[in-house]
Amino acid sequence: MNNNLDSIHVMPGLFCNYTCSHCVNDSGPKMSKKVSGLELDRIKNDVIKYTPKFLQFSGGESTFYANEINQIVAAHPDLENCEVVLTSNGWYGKSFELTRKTLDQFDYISKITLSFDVFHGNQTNINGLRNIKKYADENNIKLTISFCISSPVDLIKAKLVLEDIAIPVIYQRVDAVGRAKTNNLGYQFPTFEEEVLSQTCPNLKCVSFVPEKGFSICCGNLIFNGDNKEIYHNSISEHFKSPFYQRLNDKNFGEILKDSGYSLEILKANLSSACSICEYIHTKESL
Amino acid sequence: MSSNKKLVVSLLIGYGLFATQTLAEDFTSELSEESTISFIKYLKEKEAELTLFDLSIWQGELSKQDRDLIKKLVQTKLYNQTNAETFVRSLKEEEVQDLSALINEDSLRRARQVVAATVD
Repeated sequence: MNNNLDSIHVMPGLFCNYTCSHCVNDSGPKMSKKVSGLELDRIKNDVIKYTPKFLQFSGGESTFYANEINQIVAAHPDLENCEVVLTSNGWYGKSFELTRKTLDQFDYISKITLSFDVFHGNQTNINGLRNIKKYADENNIKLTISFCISSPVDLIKAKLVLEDIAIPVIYQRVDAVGRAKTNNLGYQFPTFEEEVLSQTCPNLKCVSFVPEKGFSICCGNLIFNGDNKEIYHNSISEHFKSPFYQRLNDKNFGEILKDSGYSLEILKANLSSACSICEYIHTKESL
Repeated sequence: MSSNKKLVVSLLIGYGLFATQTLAEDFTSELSEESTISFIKYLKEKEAELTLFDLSIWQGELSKQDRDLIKKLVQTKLYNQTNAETFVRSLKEEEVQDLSALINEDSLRRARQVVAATVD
């Protein structure tokens, strides 16, 4: 339907049993936002319409939304050619029985990405990973670990925490958004990296759905550090037609800054990531 | 003295970090040409907050292990050349060794596969 779309990413709800210091969207035990019935229908309609190669689910903690996720996955017309990915904090790894009970709720999972790093505090447990790996191996589910870092030095901590567990690890720089911004945990850049000016939005091929907001290629800074209604929409096609999407699709960040008349000389170190510079652009002007 | 080094000397004096040209030239003399370019960017960005203490990490030439780690940090897109050098110069020797061992070919390959932020 649209060659520009590889993935639909859904945050079915923002409830989480953890309160991580780096959480992008302030998910936690007090968060009750979740997709409504109407929103669920909108998501299913666009899954049918766009038939994405990837369906990604995060949260909140995705395992508390099995019913909603199963409905969305069931709507996909070509599931054999779609990778269904859950991002999860792995709380159920305490025992193999709990792991099985929790993950058996899902009708179809291709891959689990476990968020596992120092920002989860004392919730991280290497034995929990072993239980989840056993379940994944038995059920032919791919498993990776996503380990957030504020500095390359955190790679040393990762090595200590993960020991010799045989699960692939993807390291991810923390962006200054949500609780990571409040707690000053964004990735540390000594000086501004002008390479970011030649970059475009890394999510141009992935549209995210956030409850009580809608569809957007932004799944971070603009969605959660403010509430600019011009960046999210009720359907993906409406989003693709928006000035916000079209500008990000057509131009790199340097070109957008130049068009807006901003000086490229005064950019600070904390604007060195694509999401930070995009937030800088869009909070300084209305579209 | 190269034009880049002359610029560093003038910046060091202009920002009030060294009182005389001789002191600034002594400080600059040990920097390689590549490091001088990184240092200029660092100086300009930190202009308002620089102290002599901050400059201490820039003293001395980089070892081969330092340069190899900088290359790996750039290849894995953890930093650009300037920031990789600043970062490596701020590390203790054992941290350089640990990180060099960790950022191996396998993690380089995986890092290139990471295209977008995912959300938890």
